[in-house]
Amino acid sequence: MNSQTILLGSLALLAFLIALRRRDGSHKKGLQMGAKVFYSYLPVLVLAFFLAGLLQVALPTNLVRSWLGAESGWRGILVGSFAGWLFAAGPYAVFPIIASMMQSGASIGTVVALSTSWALLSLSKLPYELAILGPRFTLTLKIVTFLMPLLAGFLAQLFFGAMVM
Amino acid sequence: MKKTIIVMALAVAVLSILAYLQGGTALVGEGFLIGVRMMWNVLPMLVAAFALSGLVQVLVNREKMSAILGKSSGFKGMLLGSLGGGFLPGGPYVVYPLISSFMGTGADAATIMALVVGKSLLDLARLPQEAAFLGTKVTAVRYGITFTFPLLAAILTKIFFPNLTEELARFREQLQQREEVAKE
Repeated sequence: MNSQTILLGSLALLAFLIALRRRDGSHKKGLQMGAKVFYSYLPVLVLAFFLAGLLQVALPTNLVRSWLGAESGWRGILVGSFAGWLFAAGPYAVFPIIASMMQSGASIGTVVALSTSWALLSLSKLPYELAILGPRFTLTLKIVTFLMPLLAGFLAQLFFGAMVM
Repeated sequence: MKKTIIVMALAVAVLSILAYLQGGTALVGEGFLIGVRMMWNVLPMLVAAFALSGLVQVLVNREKMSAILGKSSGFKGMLLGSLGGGFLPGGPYVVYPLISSFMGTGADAATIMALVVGKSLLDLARLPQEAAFLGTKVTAVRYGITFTFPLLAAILTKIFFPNLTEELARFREQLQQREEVAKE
């Protein structure tokens, strides 16, 4: 049991107690919803962990380090800022991949740039954005957020570059 | 979901071949073993994470939020949108139609921009998963640094795309007309 599990467990407990106080079955509904999502994502999750493990052995650590590590300087952040576009998948697939890159030596700036660019610019969301929010809005959204991953990665490296991940 | 599974299974297969070419079955086995170990380590955290995200989704009142956000404009709208986006529960196929319904109801383009960027960057329902895989420290850095980005995006929209609000209202009208035609 590590500190992160305890933290998330306490938050879940807090949310549970708040839901319980409503006395309308919210606590049960919330847990059921969580369980339902968990089960539906289980196959993807299992695959995601295999993917993360295989990435660690199949991707040469030196390559990741020289491209995305702290030694790569700002190149890692630059690569990360745009690689997120190509991570056209949900969080359950993307986070394990980023986690394995972290373990192979990717720097904090790269990791933050990558997760920010995936969150903002991932191509998997594009069809929804175009169809539901419209081409005009989508274009504006991409222009306005285009450089944000770079800025986030840069700031993360600048202020937290020495942090132990 | 099925598509995701197929794509990921394919990726696992390709990586297995890559690992096999580099180190034979031993390396492939090692890869799978690392995966199993990782999963075993984060399983308690994942269970807590999913419980939390389910509870948050039940606790957040979508109707009440819609009532407030749908009429917000100006700086107040930008601020509310920036903070509110992360609280909107559900995937893009749930949240985008909701946000789209605000177009032309009084919310201006900057508010809508703040909501979309806020949802993308500060999604509360995704926070547990991010913390589970990347660790609480990295997640805290990521959320901390990008916390002001929705507001920044809204301000940029307001300054550089002042006509977007009207264009969005027109888009919304067209969308509704198309929906009506589809119904008939």
